Amino acid sequence: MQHRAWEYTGWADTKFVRPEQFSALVDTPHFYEKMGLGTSTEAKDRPSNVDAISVGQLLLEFFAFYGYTFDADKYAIDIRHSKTTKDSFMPQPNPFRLRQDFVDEARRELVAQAEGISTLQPWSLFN
Amino acid sequence: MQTIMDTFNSVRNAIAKSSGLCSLIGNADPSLEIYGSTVNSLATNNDSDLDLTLLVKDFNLNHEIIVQVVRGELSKTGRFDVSSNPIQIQSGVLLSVRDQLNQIDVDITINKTLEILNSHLVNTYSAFDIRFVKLALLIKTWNKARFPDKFKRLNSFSLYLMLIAFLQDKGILPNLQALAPEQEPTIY
Repeated sequence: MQHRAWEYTGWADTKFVRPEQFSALVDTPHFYEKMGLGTSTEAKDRPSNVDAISVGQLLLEFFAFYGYTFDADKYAIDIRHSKTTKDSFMPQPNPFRLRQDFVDEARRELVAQAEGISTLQPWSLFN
Repeated sequence: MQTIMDTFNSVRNAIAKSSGLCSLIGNADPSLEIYGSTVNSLATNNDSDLDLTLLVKDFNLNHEIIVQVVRGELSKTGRFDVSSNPIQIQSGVLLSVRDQLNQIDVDITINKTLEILNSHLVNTYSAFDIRFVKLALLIKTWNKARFPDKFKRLNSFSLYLMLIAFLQDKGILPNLQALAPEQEPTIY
C-alpha cells in the first residue's frame, strides 16, 4: 500500500521512478490519459517559451512573484513584508537575507543549466 | 532509498507484532502509510526524515495512547531511540523516534490521510517538469537553512504550493486539481 503514489500515476511496477526518466514517461499518451489531460498534443499546448526558462531564472522570479526582491549587488535576496494578500505566504514579517551558500548553489545551477549539466541530483536517493 | 524502506519495514514489523496495538485499534493488520518527501520525490540525502502515519478506523481513540503503545513496541526492538516524548501538534500527536541503525529520524502520526494524498499530488507535479523538482529542493534547502527550528518555519508543503501556483502562472505546470472529475458528495 505504501507504493500508492506510483500506482496513482499508473507506474506501479516501476516503483521508484527516477526523475530523469519522468520526461520519457510523461511523453506518452497513457500518462496524459491517466491524468485526464486528453492527448499528449493537447496537454503540451502551452506557451512555447516555457521550456527555455532556466531554474535559476525561475528561482528569482519565484521570489519576486511573492514580493521578494533580489539584491544583485550583494547576491542576496531580501524578503520584505508586502502589502498585498500574499502576506499570508510570508515566512517572516521582517526582511532577511538568503544564505550565501544557497545563493551560490543557485548560481552554480545557472551555470550548470547553461552548460547542460545539472549540479543538483535530487534523484540520487533513487540510485 | 533502500535504507528508508528498511527503516519503514522495521517500524511496520514492530507494530504488526503488537497484540496490544491490534486489540486497541481493532485492526488485524495495522495500516502504516508513508507520506512526505519519501513519496513526493523531493527527499534529500542528508536531512530527510521518514514521515509515517498509522491509519486507525476508530476516530474516537485517543491518539496519545496509541503513540505510546507504538513507542513501547519500538523501544522493545532496541533499534530505535524513543527518548523523545510525543508532542501535541495542531492535528493530533507526533511521535519522533530515531532509527539508530540507519541514522534516520522517523515521525509517526495518526490518521494523516490528507497528508498522504497531498504527497501523491506533489509527486504527480514532480513528474511534469524537472524544474519543479529542482526549484522545490532549492527552496526547501534554503528554508531549512534559514529557519532551523521546524516548528517556527513555513512547512515544505506550503512552499511547494507556492511554487506550484507560481509555475502554473508561468504556464509550466497544469492545474491538476481543476482537472479532477467532479464527485458527488456522500450523503448519509
